[in-house]
Amino acid sequence: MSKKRKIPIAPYLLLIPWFIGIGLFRVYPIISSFYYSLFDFQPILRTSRFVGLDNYRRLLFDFPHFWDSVEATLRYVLIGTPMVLVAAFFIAYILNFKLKGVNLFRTAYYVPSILGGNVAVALVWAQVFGGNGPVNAVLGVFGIDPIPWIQSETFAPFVLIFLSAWQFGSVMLIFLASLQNVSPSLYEAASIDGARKIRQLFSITLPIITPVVLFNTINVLLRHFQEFNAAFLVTRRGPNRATDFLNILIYEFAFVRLQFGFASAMTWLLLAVIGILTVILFVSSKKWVHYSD
Amino acid sequence: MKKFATLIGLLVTAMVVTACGGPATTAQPPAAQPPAATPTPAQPPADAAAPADALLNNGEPATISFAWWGGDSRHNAVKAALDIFMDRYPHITVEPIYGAFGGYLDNLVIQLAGQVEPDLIQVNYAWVHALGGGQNVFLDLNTMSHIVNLNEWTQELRDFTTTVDGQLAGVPHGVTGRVIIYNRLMLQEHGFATFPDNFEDLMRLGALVAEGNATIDAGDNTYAFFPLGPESLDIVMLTMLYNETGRNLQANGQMLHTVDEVEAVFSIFEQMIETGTIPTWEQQEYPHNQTNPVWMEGRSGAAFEWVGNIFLAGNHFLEGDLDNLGVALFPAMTPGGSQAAMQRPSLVHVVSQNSSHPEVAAYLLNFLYTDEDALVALGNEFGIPLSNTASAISIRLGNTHGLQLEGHNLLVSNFGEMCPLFEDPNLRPQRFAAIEAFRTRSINARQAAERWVNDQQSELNAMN
Repeated sequence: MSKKRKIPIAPYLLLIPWFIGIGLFRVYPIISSFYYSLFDFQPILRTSRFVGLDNYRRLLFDFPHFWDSVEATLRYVLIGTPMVLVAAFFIAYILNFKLKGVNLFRTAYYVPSILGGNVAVALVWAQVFGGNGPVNAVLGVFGIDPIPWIQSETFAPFVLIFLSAWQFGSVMLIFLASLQNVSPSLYEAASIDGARKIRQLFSITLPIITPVVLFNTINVLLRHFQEFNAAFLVTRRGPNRATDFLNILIYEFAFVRLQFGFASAMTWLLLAVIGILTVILFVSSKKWVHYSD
Repeated sequence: MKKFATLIGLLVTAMVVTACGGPATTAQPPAAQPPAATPTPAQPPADAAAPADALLNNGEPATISFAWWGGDSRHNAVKAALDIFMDRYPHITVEPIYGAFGGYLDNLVIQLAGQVEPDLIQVNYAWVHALGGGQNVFLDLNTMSHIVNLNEWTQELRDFTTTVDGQLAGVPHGVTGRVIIYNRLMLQEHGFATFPDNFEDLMRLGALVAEGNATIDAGDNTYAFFPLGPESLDIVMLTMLYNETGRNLQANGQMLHTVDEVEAVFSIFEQMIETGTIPTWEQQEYPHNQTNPVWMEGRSGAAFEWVGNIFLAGNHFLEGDLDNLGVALFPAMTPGGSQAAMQRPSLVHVVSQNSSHPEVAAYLLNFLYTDEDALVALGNEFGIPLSNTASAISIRLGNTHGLQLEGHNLLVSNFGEMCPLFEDPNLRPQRFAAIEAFRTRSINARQAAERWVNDQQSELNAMN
């Protein structure tokens, strides 16, 4: 006689609030944004007209501003992401040595990340890179003429990239944690075999922490695609839309121009771009990410 | 729109110019000059009498909200007026929702979409027309004429300012526009007693002031004219076009300027940059407001500011050196040419369509425009009022004075029409983009003019 297995209900009951939350605040908005993208939707008047894929067609073929924005976003993401990763890894690598007062340095490097992308930081950044700001003052000491950092289409994206790179603290901490997990015996063995520090870095350290590199890369990539505050406040999306990122364009069309359908279509195209890059990363990771198991 | 000029004149010109003795100007604007008249005394409500105070909301407790933007002094004044209201009607609670202008529209849009907007709301004139794309999205105040004394505003004023799709979307508080605020010290230093009244003289002054300027402002540059940010430059362009052609931005979905006309204005703009009259793109620094160091340190000969912001700008100028500031009209394109001051209704107060207590909100609206104690508390925090009772009390109390009064006098005696769509969120970014591309030398005057006209026309076509 088989005994019927009793399914416990309590865990599922405890999960219900989470399901409700994710359903209401994640799944529903995602589905509804796709629904809206098929309509000419006027939120205030509560009217909508089915337009099918016309919003997507307009975006891709009749709205050059969208492509300017894609270009600005990709430039920021593709330059900014490696820069943040390299800066974070470099500092983490240094802070992994047993230095005097290393905890103080670790804290100091993490502080900018605590500040986050808030308004005050953005405004300070605008002053720092202003015509008579500290950056130009330092350049002046070396006889270099002031640079119009924020007013230049060439330099403005880099001002934002520097701001992002400056806030590498959390990425650095993850790198640091992974570096501390690398067994010292591997370095000892390599030293005995005559490997120098630089060889140890590229032949031992980096291969071992590649899963963490992948994790950080995806996180930083997503964060850069979602950038809003810095471009909105420091460079005002300019000059000439050089920092007019997709996220800001979506905001403009949704909440300033009230074209919710058009803005929703843009979010789905942004999702597609992010999705493609993430898939490329995951597929390529088979060749460069090494898992210990 | 000429009627609007007349209306503004009827309600304000006499009040300010005649009653307060402001300076007369000789400029000839393209639109009709508003005739002078004396302000009409307050009249009883249009329909029935207002409900007895104790019976407001049938004596039942109610809570409503009132949203506005502004600075600290406005916040304090409005809260004082609301305290008076709540003392008078203890069963009514008014929740104040206030903050800076930045982000106010974003919040309001989300609230309107969710039908959870405040009961009584301060809005911009342009939003009344833009938010519903030609349909009214607020309570039709004609349905509240038994509570709000609509006779405080003439029928014509209501028709031409806040009537949307046949409904009265709100009531306008006053009139506003931009005027030149100039730095007497700098002008005198270069041999000018007042701000130039034409571009020829302005650029002569500009070249003198800009002598020795560095290509990137390291904190020493000086400029004859310093319009702050894209909004100012946009209105500079529109005013130049208006003074040159006598035509506004658009009518019935058609742009009213040719590419040639706009190119001519961009060319003058270019001359202003070349002579150093205004900063180049690289020279202009943030922030784009009255706290910009160029303005605060007196390194600018003039700014172009809303009349309502004159004191704000003045208080930041050389630590509040108001005595060395003057106000003037925007210069004419050629000597003796038109010097119109483009203007529009300033703030508009609206009642929510979704309010649980629309009558209470309407009652508060009426209170803020007609109750003497409330008007005393409000002072001139919303600017110079258009409505009968408020303007009469403003005159009696001498709320309007000094530079702001002079600026207001310039506005009302030099009427220039500002298109209701000039701040439209679909049109304005096109102008900003054309001006920025021109200033960064990405495109020339001809290309900028083509973008300015064609991109806005495309948006107008899409809107219609």
